[in-house]
Amino acid sequence: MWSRRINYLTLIILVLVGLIFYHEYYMMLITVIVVFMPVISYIMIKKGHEKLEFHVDSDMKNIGKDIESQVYFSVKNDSYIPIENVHLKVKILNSFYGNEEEYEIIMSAIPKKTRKTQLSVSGIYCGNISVKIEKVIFYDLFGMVKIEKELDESCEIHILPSKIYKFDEIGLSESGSSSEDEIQSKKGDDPSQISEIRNYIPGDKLKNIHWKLSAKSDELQVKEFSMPYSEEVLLLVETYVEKDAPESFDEEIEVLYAFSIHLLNMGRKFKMVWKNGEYNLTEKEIYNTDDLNDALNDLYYCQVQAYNGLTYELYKSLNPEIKGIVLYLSNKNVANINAEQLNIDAKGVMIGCLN
Amino acid sequence: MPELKKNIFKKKYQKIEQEKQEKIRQTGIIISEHLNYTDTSKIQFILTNALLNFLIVTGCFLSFLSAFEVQYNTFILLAAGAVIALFTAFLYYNNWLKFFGYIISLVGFVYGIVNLRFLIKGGFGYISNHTMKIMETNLNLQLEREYSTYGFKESISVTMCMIFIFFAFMLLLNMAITESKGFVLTFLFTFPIVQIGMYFNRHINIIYFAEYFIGLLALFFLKNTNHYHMETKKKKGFLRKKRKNKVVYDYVIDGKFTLSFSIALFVLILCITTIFGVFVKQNRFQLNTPLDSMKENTRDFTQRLVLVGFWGMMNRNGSAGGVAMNKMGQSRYVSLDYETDLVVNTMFENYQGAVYFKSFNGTNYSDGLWQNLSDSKQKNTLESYELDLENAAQITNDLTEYYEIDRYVGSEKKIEITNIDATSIYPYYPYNTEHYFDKINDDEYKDGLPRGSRQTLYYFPLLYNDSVDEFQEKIKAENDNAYEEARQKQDEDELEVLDREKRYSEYVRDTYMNVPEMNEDVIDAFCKKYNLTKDTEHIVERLQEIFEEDYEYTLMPGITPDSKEFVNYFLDEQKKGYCVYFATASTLIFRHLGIPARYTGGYVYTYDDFQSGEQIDLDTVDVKDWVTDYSEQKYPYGLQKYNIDDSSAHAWVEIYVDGYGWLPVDTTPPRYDEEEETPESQGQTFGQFLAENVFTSDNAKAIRKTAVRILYIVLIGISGVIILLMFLGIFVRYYRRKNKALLKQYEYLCKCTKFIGLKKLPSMSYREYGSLLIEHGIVSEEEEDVIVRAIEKEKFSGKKLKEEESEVPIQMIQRASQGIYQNLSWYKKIIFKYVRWM
Repeated sequence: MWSRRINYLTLIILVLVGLIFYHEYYMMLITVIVVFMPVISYIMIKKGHEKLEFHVDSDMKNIGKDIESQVYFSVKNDSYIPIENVHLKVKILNSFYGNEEEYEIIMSAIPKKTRKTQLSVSGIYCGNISVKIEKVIFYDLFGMVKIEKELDESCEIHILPSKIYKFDEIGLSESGSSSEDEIQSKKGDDPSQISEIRNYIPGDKLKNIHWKLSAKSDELQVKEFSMPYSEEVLLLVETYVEKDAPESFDEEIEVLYAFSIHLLNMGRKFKMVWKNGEYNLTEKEIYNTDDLNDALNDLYYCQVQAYNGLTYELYKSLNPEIKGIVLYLSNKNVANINAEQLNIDAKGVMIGCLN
Repeated sequence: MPELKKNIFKKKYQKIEQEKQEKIRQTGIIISEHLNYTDTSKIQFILTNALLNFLIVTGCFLSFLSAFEVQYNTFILLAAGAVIALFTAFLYYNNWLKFFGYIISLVGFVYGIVNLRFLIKGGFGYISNHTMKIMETNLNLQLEREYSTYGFKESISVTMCMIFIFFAFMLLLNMAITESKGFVLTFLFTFPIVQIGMYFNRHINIIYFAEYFIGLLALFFLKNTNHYHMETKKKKGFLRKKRKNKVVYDYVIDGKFTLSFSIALFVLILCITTIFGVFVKQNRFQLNTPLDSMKENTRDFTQRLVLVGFWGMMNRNGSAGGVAMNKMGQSRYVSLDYETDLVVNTMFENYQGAVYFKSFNGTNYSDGLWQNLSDSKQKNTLESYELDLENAAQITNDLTEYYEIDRYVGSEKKIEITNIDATSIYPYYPYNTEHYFDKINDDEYKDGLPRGSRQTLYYFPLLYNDSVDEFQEKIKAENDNAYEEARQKQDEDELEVLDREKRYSEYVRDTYMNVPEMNEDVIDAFCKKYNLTKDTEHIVERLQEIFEEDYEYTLMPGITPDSKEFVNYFLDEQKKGYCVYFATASTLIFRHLGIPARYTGGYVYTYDDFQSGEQIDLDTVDVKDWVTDYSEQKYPYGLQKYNIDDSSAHAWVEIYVDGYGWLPVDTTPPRYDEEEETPESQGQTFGQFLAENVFTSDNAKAIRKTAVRILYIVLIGISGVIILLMFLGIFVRYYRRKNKALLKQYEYLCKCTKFIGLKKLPSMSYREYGSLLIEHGIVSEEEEDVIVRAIEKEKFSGKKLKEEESEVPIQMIQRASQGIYQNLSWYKKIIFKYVRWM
């Protein structure tokens, strides 16, 4: 900006020299124009900037890891003044980990038009990616005066888990009312019952698609399984995030999701519990994948913990006697927890049975 | 070394990559470099460039023409300007257009110049004459140069000429405007033209001036925006810059912005101009300050510029083609501009010898440099010999009144000398001029002839004499007679004049005989070699012979080495040079042989040149005013105007003839034409050379034939490229049909629909886009469902569908694309297939 001001000052000096040398009507006119124009331009931008609108949006709200979502930034100019440089100060962060990326996008604003640009965003960790325009700086017609405006425009993209884990060794019959026979039925048999048929949504397993019904109807139909078991399983999720090692918590979310799907496939309804804030536990009942996705969505907005084991401690303090099956998920071994660990194929994540 | 460089780069790259990966690991976010504008608006960018080019070039030249009241056709010029501006701007649309466009421009331009050269030259003539006329009045100059207009009508000739100027300027400025919004270059090329009218307080048309100024100002601001790089050069829509902890994406160009900005600026300036015009009337405008003094200060410079032009100002050797008072032997060659330096109006009589227009006298010589008395601070003065400047200067004129030397000195005649571009510190008096008094000292004049000024003089010309010795003898005899007669008549005045000459002769012998020590040996050796002594008869002629036989006249003698003395090197080793060399050496030789001599520079007009002037009709002048004894026999060339240029610049020697005074003698050997640089070969512009040597009527047939051949080659080339593109299109289409990638086929369908105006916006979901296709009957609802399901499945799963899964949707997409093609009009089908390769 300073270089522009210096350039303009040079222009004014040159024009004044010209006026002295040529001593001419037209040079006087030029001098008047050159001197007054920035003033007029400033007044115009001062009035015109109120008619600027900024938006940020994405084409996909829920995506898997490494899948790109297009984030659109748009500047709508309802005034008649063209603005050359609109600086959008953008912050992008995954709310779990807090490490943010700062971007500045410079766009132009055309009178009575909307200028749009896009950025491809993808994530390598599960969580909620927030793209936020925090501030907008724009300049007058000649780029010599700047005006700043605080803004709170944002959009979010959920990065969903997608890994598959083996949970063959997990046995829940001892604590639940379901018989072992029911759970460990013959290979290929599904112990659960179909409770609902619904439309296909992205992310559904192909094996759950009801092909015959889909062939008859116009859309893909997916089978939803009901819970034949009466005893509930509770998944206690530790929301401790180590900022320098975000991959650990990501692994935990992956295991949580995969294990939840595993339970649903087993026909188990269950509860998901996590610590939210200092003294609250959030509890969600999961009957099907929709509930699971909703729960995950809520989990993405939780306040993560600064120390490991806080969730466990709070749960223990609120529930001195543990009833049913309580499975504790943590991204690291927590000291002083007397829990039988399940064998899972995930490094740094433990599922311990608290009963 | 390259290996080391490679390793450094590799390490640097690795480090950057590591940092990037660590950042991604910490944040868990990957931002792909796909930032792009949804609309590149290239056309608007080009239109802006065309607009700026149009405003600046037409504004600049029409301001100039309006200021000097040159007639032209406004409508044709503006229309032609608009077309040329659009043409030149669209050259940057893509590389093909640029390549072929420039070829067409070149061919068209040369073809136009060849066919219309006289019309264009006529236009130049009109413009120059109008301009010169006004400058003549404003700068109080006597401009003698007038340009031919070839009898064309002014408005036609000027309009045609301006179209070519527009073309050349727009082509040039378009490069600067499109590539870099080159404000400084544009300003430097155009402002000097606009300011001429302003400088001379001419009435410039305000519309054209505003046009120019708006264009220039828009360019200034656009240059300041940093968003002016042509998109074809920077393929990316945004540039990525890393600043501290953040990444900055800055858009490269935005055509719509540049266009809207230019329009906004136009409106803004128009408003200010209107308000200013209402409150400050042009005729009432007065700045009561002594600002005009700056103009006064530049007046001399301006006069010179007007007189000699830009290139004339650049001529380092000044007016005298190297015959100046600088140190000699320092330039490799003499560069002549063949432009008029002096204009002389006079009558030359039969047997008249060369007319010398004297400028510089060199009295004391030292190491390649001549100095006059003032510079060398010589102590002995005329006063010591009971003389003063006035009577010393008048000696020759006073003496000749008492002599019968009609054979050597002609009758008195008038001469008018106008200084066009000769150095203004000298008066350029011919020998034997009356009113010869304005002297600082014996060899230097007080007042020169300023450029643009004219002086009228009366002089007695020297008639042709074949022997200096004979002249000297005649003078001696006349002098003796005069003494005797004066004594007999007791004519005190005559005796006083004769005595005065004696005293002056003594003064001359004391002043003009110095030979530097460092030259004594060489000159002595030279004289011995050629048997030159004080008693040698016809010494001047003998020296001429020696130089002609053993020395070479050339305008390219080369530089005298630093270790050598100029005269010594010339006489001993170099043995070639031009007049300066011969005159300097001769002066010292004469002095060595006891003849008082001094070096002289100026212009010489020889008998051979007398008939080359421009005849002035004697009926329009009073002949008696020019000569008192006019007859056609005595003055066979009549009254003529002679343009003297620097090819007439010369150096010669003045030797002192007792009883007469200073006599010019020339020892420089004659020039030979084969060595001479002529105006035809050197002083011309390239355009003149083309017009007069290449594009002649004799060559016209050959040129036409060549032009037709070039046209054929261009047409064949274009056809070949089209055929090649068609074949490439066939291949591209074939391989696309064979492509079994579902997403690729889908993208192709998007392209096809975009072609007919149904663009898939980035914000549209597949379903929304599908509905659009159904709405326009491109696919049925069933087809849309199958296609969208398959696309969604592949896109969201991130995995490629199996061949059997994608087969049906691909077939449906291809059917839809085919349907789009079938419904196109014939010309759109051609574009679709062969231009867009779809």
